[in-house]
Amino acid sequence: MSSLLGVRPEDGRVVGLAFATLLLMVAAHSVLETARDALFLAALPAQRLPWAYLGIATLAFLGAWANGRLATAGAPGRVLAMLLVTGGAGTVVFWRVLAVPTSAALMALYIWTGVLASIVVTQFWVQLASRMDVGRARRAYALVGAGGMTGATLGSLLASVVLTGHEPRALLPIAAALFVTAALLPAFAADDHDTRDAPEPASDDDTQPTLRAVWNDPYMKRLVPLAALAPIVAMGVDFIFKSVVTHAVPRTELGSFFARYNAIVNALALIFQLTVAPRLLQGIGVVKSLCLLPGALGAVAAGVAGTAALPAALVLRGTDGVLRHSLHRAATEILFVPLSGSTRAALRGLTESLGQRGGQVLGSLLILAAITLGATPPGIAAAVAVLCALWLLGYVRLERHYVERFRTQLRAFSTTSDTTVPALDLKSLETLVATLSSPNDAEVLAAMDVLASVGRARLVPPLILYHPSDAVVLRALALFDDVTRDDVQEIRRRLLAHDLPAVRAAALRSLAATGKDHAVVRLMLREDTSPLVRATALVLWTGAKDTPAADLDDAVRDLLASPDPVSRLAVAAAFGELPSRLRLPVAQALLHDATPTIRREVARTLAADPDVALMALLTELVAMPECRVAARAGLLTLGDPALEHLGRVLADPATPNALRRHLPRTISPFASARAAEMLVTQLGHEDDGRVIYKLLRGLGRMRTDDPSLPVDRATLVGQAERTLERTVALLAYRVAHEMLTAEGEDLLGVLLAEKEQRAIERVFRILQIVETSEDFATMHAALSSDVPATRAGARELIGHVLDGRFRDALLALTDSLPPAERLQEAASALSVPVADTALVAWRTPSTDASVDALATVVATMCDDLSLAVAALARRQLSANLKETPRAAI
Amino acid sequence: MPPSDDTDASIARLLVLKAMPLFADVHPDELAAVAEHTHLHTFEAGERLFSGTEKPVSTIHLVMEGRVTEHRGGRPFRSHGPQHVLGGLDALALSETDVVAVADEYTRTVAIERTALRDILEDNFGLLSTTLQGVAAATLRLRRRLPAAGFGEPSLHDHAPDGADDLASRMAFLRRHTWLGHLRVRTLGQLAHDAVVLAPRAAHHLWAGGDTAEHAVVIVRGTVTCSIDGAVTWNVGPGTVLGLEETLALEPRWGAADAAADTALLSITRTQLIDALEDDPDAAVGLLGGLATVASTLRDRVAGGETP
Repeated sequence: MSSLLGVRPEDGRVVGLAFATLLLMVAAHSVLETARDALFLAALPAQRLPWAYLGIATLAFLGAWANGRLATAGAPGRVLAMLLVTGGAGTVVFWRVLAVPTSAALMALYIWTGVLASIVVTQFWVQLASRMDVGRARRAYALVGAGGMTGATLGSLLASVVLTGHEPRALLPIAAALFVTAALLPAFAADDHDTRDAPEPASDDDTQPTLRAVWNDPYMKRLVPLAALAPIVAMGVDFIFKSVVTHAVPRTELGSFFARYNAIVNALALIFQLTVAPRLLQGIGVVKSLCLLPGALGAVAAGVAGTAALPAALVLRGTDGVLRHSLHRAATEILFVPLSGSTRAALRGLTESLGQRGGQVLGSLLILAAITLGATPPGIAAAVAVLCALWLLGYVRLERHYVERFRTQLRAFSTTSDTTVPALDLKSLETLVATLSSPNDAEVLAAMDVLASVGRARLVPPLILYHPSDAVVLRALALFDDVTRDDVQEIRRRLLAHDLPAVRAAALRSLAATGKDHAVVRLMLREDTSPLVRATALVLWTGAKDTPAADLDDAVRDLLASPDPVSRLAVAAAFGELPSRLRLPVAQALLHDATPTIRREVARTLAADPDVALMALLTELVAMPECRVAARAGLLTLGDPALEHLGRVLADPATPNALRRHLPRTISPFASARAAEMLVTQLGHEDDGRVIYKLLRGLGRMRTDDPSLPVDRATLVGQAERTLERTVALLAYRVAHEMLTAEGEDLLGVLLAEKEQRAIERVFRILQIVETSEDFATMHAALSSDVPATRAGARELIGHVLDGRFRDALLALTDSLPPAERLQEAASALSVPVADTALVAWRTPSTDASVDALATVVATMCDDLSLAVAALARRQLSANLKETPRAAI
Repeated sequence: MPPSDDTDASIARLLVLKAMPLFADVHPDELAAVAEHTHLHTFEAGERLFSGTEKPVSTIHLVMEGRVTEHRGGRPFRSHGPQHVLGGLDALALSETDVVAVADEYTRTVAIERTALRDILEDNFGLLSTTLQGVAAATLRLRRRLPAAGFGEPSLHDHAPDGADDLASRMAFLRRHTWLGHLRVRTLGQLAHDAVVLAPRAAHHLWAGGDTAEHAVVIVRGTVTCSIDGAVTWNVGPGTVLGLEETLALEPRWGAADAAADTALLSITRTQLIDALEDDPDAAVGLLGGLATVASTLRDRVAGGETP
């Protein structure tokens, strides 16, 4: 039955005990309420009811305050049991007192009944919410609420039967016995607490919120007035109903009339609760479910205002009775689930006292005022219709804040990689400049790099070129590369006598770059003892404009002939000074059989001053990890021609995969509409999963940096749907695989699970590209959380921001159900042939149809695009299925 | 000192990170993501940075100023000064070793939580790649301090499985018999697919000390003899991943390797490995953790007094 009602086995115990507890509590209340109404209305006029409402409201303030305290008490289960026992004892006292009924005693009974129900039921839901996340609540609350409906129906029937042979007063000890029985159930006993059930604290601080905090929170502050409107409308409906009934039904038949009517309404509510409410909560969500009661009551109240007939009043009260304590109650309780424990208890107390009881006081005063002013039931019905419209509007406006609540909670999972160096204020600039004088060389280097990264390299004084650290001097030479001031040139000349060859070579390169010091180049070529400096000088000399072409070619041949790594590295660092026609062949020669260090240096030199002739080589270098950063920078410098070239190479099926998979992230930094178009177009017909992943990452980065960048949504959505279908297929493989595989090491099972997760990640990446205003990356991260409440929050958010079969399939795939059940849910939203086949095997195990279906799924798996899946499927499953199909399942 | 969020404090923390040799070549913008999640801490002389009860350590400290003595297994292991990292390998490896760190004098550190660092690395492959390179270099340094470079005796000699025959076999072999086995299966599948199967004959020369390291090999069958300067030699067998650390650290081969018998090897280039990891940040973090575990184990042996 539980699976039929959507409750999962792991929730069965909590939900079952909660169901039983609420059943007994509400049955007790229903019996007590029948006795109360019969006794009260038989002896007193309906016009006294508002005073009773006022009494309930006033005393319930105190009860709500106590409830808030009790909700956070150390042993919550015992608190509820204690309250129930107290309720039973108090009811017995009334039974004794009402042996001789008086007006005061009847009024006290009326108030007692209302206050007791308010306290114990509220305490019950607060304790239950502390063990729920929003996902479990949506699945379980309808059934738990059905416990209340069942209790109300059984209580009414019981009362009806008892009243056939006894006075209404006889119902009181029965109600007392039911309260005490409910107290005996261990539903929320402290020692029964299973930590697995405890949701995480919500993202807000887990301290009791002040009134100001509630007022400043757009979600919480709306719950209070909405809670106040509910009892005002309920009292209006109740007053209209009872006013009409007392005119239409003889007083002596009121007891049996109320018993029969309540039994019918409660039975209808139970049927609604079991059959419709769970679907509504799961299907249209919490807030839309809440809109049903005010919407329906408003419409019927408008009808009553026009007729004032008994049938219309019965329908009005019936609508209220069916919806209020079933769907509306369950959905209202879910509104408190996203709050942290303390916030929930405090806000529940606030909505109970200020909202519910305040609403009752206000409702009582309004009805008293209406009676004083001579208002008739139709007039009050018209007022109720207006209030329902306001109530409905309140819920419509609440939805945005309800969803925002989950967004806020998930922000803790937000990625952090977009951080950059903060904008520097005067104090931080002073810190950086002061660090340039640090005795620690590493700190000096760090300060220079940070200043350069924020475009403040000019704050580094040229005198740093005299720094005792070689590393600092080398970094400073690179930093001043474009500076041609005389003072810097003079220091460079002095550095030609530096002890370290690398410093001399760097100084020489800087000097030569200004085009004025060829004599120095010749001097260093002739006299320096270091191969590194001589090789550098040779490159610079051959690059001089006045070098004859033939001499130049000979010199280059000599340069490249040296196998000495130091010389080759020097050439790699300096060959950018050569005439452009020589750069490409020199680069290619240097790259032949090169070390990673030389390859990286070649890429850096090419990227420093790229031209179109080098475009193809730079593109090839993207495939090498050590060259990638520099090659991408060089291509970016070349602009549109490079972009078009990259697009052609990406689209060319002959391009090696080792290169293709790096092209999307090479194209994305161009950050133009054309670049986005190239990536989306390629996504439409790309087969290689790794390239698809990079395309998505590239597009994701572009859209994150510039959400206004246009993308072809249709292609992206199509890709998302294909990826979702692929995920369903992978899940179908898993289901078949689990049916065929015994316990033990299971590579295929692990691989399928990993690939399924990967496919889901891709779906979220695509969603993030399509809709940048939502944080789908965070939702995906939250779905991987170990905390059930966080996962449930992410799913709740997904349920609100997506729609249609796409949403249903994604929610099914990200559920915590076993694979076969997830597949069943997903396949009902998205048609994937292999999923249907796997489900045939699962639904009819150990049959010929199952064997045939499994064979089909395995055959599909063996032909899968993923080589690893296909290889493992062939190895682990196909032989097993072909040889001993029966044994296999 | 309580954490400060003003720009100056952010820059100060960024400078500390940037001054670390490991991050010297990383762009400041990339390091800013790390700096944002760090906090400044001060310790008086005698105060403990790690008490030994927290296993694995949850916080990594970078020493800005002062000195700290690290104790491992109850014995003093190493003294740390500015720019030193404390708890890095232990945190990445999720090591259960007793680590106690005591400030010898007034000490300031920049600290980051293990989980925050992991999240950042998952989001930023450039940083992760740099960290991987640093851990690989640390592993190499530790190998140089241990007999047989810290490799154990070959364990699969007599029952070497067929691991090079097809893709499924290669995946199964990598999963069952190497420390790469804890990587995601799909990443192992990618590596197994990209790997080249080599079958060197006995006495075939794989590489010499000082050679450029561009690939690692996984020994599937047979034995490989390793030697340093032709003097110290030892054998490694199936399941050993050889040459990975220097390949990742971009350092030359630290010793020679020769096939001691007819051997089957899976050869994986650095480019293939980096590509596979870049496609799968989780796997990259997993490999980082695996390498850190190797390094952590080697360090415990060094701390235990083993010498070459």
